[in-house]
Amino acid sequence: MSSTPTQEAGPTSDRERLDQARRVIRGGLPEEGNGNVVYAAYVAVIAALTYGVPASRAFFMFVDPAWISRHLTGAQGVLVVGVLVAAVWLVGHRLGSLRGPVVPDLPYLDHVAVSSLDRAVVLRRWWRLSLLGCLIGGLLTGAVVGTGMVVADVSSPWALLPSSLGGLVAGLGFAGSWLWGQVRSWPTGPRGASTVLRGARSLRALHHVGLRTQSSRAVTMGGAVLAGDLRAARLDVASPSTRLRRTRLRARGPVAVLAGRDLLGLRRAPGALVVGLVLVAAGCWSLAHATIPGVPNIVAFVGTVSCYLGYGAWSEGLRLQGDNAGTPPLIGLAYGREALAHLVTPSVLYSAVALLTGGAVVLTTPGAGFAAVVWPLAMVALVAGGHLMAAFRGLPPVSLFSPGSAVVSVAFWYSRPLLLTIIGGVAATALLTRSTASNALMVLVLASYAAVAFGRRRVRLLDEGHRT
Amino acid sequence: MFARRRHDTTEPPPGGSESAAPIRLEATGVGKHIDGNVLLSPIDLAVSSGECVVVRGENGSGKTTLLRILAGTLEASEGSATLDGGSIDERHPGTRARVAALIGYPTAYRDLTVVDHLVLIDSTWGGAIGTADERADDLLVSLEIDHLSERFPHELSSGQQHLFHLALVLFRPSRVLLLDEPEQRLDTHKRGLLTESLVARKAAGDALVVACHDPEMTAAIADRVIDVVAP
Repeated sequence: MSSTPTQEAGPTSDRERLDQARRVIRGGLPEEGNGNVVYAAYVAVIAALTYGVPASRAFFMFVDPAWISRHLTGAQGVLVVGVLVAAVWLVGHRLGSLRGPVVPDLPYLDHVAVSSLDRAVVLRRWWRLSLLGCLIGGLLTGAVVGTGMVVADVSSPWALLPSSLGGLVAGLGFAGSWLWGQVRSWPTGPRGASTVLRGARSLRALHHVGLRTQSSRAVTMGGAVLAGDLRAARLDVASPSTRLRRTRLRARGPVAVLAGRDLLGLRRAPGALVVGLVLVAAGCWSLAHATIPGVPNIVAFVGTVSCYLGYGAWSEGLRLQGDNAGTPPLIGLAYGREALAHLVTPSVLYSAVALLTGGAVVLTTPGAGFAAVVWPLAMVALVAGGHLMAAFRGLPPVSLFSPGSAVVSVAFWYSRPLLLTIIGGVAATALLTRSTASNALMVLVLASYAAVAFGRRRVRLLDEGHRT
Repeated sequence: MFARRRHDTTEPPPGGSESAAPIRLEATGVGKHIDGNVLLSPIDLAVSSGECVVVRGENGSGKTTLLRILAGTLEASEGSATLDGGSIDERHPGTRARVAALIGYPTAYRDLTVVDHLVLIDSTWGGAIGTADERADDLLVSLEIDHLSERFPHELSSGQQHLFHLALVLFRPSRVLLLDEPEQRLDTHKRGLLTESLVARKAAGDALVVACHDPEMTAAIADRVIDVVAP
């Protein structure tokens, strides 16, 4: 007599099979993910109440509520908010091509995602977590902004509702564009508009190789950030050039050929060229308006930051030289002189855009005078010095793993060039409308000198640092 | 600033009477240790124009450290290294103008093609503008990578990358050539091409110091062989 062993019924649906696989991965331990999500949301709410609301209130107090009421209400206000939201969504789309919302760990991708299970089921958990994060982030951002406006007496308490709902919608849009960016990062397959905000369809469109690349990149970038090595992270996300390969670099004098190199590099990376153009034009436009009496300092702040970021988009040659420190020399210029040569192209481009933008502001804006043309142009040395400091800063003296307030120290160390540029630029611009032009010019010259001198010192230190 | 070429470069111009003068690179008892760890035991080495010294030794024996000291990118802990009797320091324009080195991988501009890199390097050393393209193409032909001239560095294979790096170093003017295992990742044919190129450089009066593990290449280029003993 032989008895047939009773066979336990196995999982039948994809969801059941995935649950079983996840149980194996966890080694039989209970699922902790949901508890972690709730805790993260709890921490985010506490942080928003503790730090966000006071910061938002201080921001609106600093900006000058009366000026906001005059300039950012009605259609103009809707336009500004719309542009900001669109810019955030564009950033989300770009971010998705580098590190999307669906990035499981590599073993999971290699052993579970490649199975015959429906990819929408396999990847759904990561998408839902990212979506939830975006919705909570958007809601909290809207609520913090609205609360700040109410507390600063910029608007009535009723503004809290539309700002919170608007933040929620913006968060939803960001999540959608983020996922769409990830879907479109793979060149083939369904990647059109039909995948926008359609989770299952988008998840099925994600390619295994693309997911692996992003997962691997996330690990590299995470390590780079934790080690305070943003250079490694930057190089990892940089897009390789493929354009204008038949356009040759023309032989010129030593300095001119380096400037020509940077210009050719920008022609081969038109995205950087356009981003720099938009940011510098917007920054110079803001700085030109900041020369008009009565305009709040926030305009100078936004202009200085925008100019700094735009100039940075044109400074890849400078950063690449910084990456080269310590290797046997191939370039026939002294290291410091090579660095200065790499400032030529971005500085010339900046100057041209500053002059054109300043001229346009003078022609179109009542109250804008000669200072509107000169002032954005005068910022060029300060911005260039800031980028000289940034490109040659090397590695931070402390890592995030160091004892004490390492995170704050590393963050401060990295942001020094931007901080110096902002402080110098905003202080000088503030003096221009509230004191005399000579005082403003003196502050700007001193700040520019400090940035360039500190930058040149960093160049020398990085050049010599490898010798010990 | 932009119109001038040779007047503006801080380096001594390549060629001219200086290039015809013999040159001598000498290391006497150079060693390197960091925090008690010995990277290179004291060693002597001398090479003059038209000579090639091949440095051999097992992995970790200190060959690369020796080359870095000779290139002036690393200071010796003991002993001295001199170039024509003077100290070697890559911060000095004179050292940079005379010593070219391939030690590790030079970082390339990812937005420049292979031939762009050669033109860039040549221009910064004050090479003749009118013939830069032609000379760059000739070098690429001599290494049989002329078909790669319009590729970007990230589009090259591992062996092609190495040939590209060799081309960068061979193209810049120098009197002393320091190469760290130049034969690595090259097939037999390409090793032969490189050997011919190094023999030609030696015949032209350059002084060569090459860390090499290839017996055939060593036999073809070496006037002397120095074995570096692991510390």
